[in-house]
Amino acid sequence: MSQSIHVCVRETHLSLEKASAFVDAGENGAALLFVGRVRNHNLNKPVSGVSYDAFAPLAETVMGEICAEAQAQFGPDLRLYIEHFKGYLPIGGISVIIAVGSPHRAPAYEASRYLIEELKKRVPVWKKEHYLSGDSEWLDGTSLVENP
Amino acid sequence: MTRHPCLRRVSNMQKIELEISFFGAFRKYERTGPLRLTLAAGAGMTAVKAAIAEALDPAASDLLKVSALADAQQVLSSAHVFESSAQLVLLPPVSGG
Repeated sequence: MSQSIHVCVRETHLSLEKASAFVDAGENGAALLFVGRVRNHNLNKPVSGVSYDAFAPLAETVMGEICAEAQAQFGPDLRLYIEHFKGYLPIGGISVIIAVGSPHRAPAYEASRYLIEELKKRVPVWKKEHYLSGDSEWLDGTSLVENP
Repeated sequence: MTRHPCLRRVSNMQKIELEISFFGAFRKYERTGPLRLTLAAGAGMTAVKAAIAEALDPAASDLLKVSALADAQQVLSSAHVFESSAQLVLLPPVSGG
């Protein structure tokens, strides 16, 4: 994988500092950080936390492919960083970090949006919401089957 | 005594073993480790999914239809043919982020 791309599925705290440091470079005038966090509600149900499951080997392969696509579309000079959490997170916990470093702001915004949207559709990660009621359920998602 | 030719063909058919790990909503079915299926070499995706469906709770059938099989490198297409034993994963619709 390119030295300008970092991807990882991690079972420990995701670090904003490490993400920022990775995309920083002297030639970059823009650094953009997207942080996904666990919110306290979904579909009018109060949420107490979320468990994330992941098939890490394939998840990291697909995240790398998505980053390579972003460089091809928005600029080969982009520095791209994706980490996704696996395990249980309480409200406010960081589930995903996407960081983009770019000489200019426009490609940074475009690449960041591309990375999170493609991640949600293609990367083998699953969310199980836990509710204040004590119930929990796996969320619906996007099928990886062609023409399901 | 000569065996019936059809019986000989079946007994000579090469068998493969597929070890299938579960993720997400399928985790609850992985009670004692991965599911192990023995099938004829050359089985297609439809046959493999039918064998998985037989091993699981009937309530899982709708989820199984929209779930993909993959190995560590890629999601397998519906045209994939299983020629040799393999370790696979069953991936329900994804919901990361």
